[in-house]
Amino acid sequence: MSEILLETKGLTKQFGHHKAVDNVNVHIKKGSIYGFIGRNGAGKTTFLKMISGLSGPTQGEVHLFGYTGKDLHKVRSRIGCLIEAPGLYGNMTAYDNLKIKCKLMGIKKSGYIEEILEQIGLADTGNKKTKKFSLGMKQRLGIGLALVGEPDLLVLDEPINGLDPQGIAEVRDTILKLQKERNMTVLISSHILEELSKIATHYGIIHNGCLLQEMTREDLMNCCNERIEISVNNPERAIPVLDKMNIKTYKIVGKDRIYVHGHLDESAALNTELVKAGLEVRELFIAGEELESYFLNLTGGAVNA
Amino acid sequence: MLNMIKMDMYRMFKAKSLYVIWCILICLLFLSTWLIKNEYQAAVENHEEYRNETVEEGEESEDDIVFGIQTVVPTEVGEDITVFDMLFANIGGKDIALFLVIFAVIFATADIGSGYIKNFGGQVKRREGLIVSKALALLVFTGLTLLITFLTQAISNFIVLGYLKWGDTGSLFRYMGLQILLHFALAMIIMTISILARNNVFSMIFAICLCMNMMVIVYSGIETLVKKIGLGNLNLMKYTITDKIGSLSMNFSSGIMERVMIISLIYIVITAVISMYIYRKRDIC
Repeated sequence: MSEILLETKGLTKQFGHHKAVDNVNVHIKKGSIYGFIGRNGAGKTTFLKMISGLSGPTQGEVHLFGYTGKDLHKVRSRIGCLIEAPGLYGNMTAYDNLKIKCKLMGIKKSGYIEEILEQIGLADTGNKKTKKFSLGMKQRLGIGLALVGEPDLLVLDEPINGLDPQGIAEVRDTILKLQKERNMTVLISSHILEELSKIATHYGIIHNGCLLQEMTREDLMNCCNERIEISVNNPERAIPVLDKMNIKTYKIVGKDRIYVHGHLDESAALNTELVKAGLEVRELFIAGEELESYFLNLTGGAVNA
Repeated sequence: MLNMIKMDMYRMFKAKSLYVIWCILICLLFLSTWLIKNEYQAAVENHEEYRNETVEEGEESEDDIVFGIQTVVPTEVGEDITVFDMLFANIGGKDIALFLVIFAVIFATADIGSGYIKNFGGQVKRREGLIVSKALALLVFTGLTLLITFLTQAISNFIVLGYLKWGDTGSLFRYMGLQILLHFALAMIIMTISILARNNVFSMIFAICLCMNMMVIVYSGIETLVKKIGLGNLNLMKYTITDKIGSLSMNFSSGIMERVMIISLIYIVITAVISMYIYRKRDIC
């Protein structure tokens, strides 16, 4: 999990005078699900296109599987991508669309396409042309196309855009399954932080082309999780009280502080129980912020969202 | 590279437009044979000269430029209409070229237009190889289209005219071979224009205008400009593929064959280089 699979150094893409991606340095570990968060127009797609080899950088380097520069072409085939809307031949079936990619990748294994169709839940589409597919089906076929050739790195650009809740859940499950079963590294972009937070293990936050922050899921949760912060004279003596109340998600911080994650609606009861146990409660309040507000604060506030 | 070729071949034979174009072409060839038969019979009955334009043997015809599509058989009154006569009329009239350019636009831009190229554009080692595979697919399409034209013409002659006469077979195969090369060069030009323009409507209009000699207006403008500058008389039309398709005679000399082959190959190489350069340098949107 510690091996860096993808790293960028000063990656920049300039269109005229506008820098769509400005000096971005990301570090993506093998086997991780890296959530790339940014508002619309932040530079996510441009960045992902450069990673996928669809677009060349104006400046900077991409290090992929230990290769960089002109050697990158040696490992490009180990990336599968779905950038923006899925690119499909509308007059062909899901099978034909996958078959075309298989031809390019030189895959002849019988039953291979059926296996992918099964995996993405499109096994029963038969002769239905993709132009008649729903958005969710198209999106899943796009992921299926990205999976052809068993890539080690899956790049997904806003794969849940426009999907209904069921579709979102299906895409999410597919990604988690792939990561778990194949130890695939996934780079996934979205502007819906709440959804990303359900699957991502690492995060990169991009704003106006610049990478503002890289963090792990734990870092983000620590920054964002709403919690009850209690200041007491003897935190050790509070543990039996918390256990009695069946509160397991707590952390003792420093000499006099306890963070209780969740159980926000039990704050009054908790205060009462602590006082009953003879503890001197100096402070008890709800701290932290929601993921959304954390992101908005980081990227310039709700006004610009 | 081989995989790219396999991919484009598969894509081409899976494209509905390919079969639609071939079906329309076959119908049109039957219709054309039937119309020519009626026209020819009327001419024979009225003892009129059917054809008023004579093509000098061994030379390229120097007819006035015709706008649009014109089908004229070279058969003299009293002679039987051969398969070669009909093929000469249909191919030289640029009927086949029109179908070819329409398919070239559709095929060359399908992966970009649909966005399918995003699924693999970054994964291929040499993106310019996609031009080679597209070009080969278009060459196969050109060859098959002219083969279908040949077979359909033979069948329609047999059914509509009631007899089957091939004409000078040696000249027929030489003519067909050279026309395949010319048509392929035209397909390459159209593919390059389509890739450059990134607009199907514009590319289609341009391709049709090219087949209908509408570009003569542009050529004459350039010729006038060159003359005014004092660089002498220039005849651009002489160096165009569409002119060569239309003006190639039935019994061309080896000198003409060489000239036509060189011009075709120059166009093929230049268009391939331009398309490859664009594919390598341009970002995939």
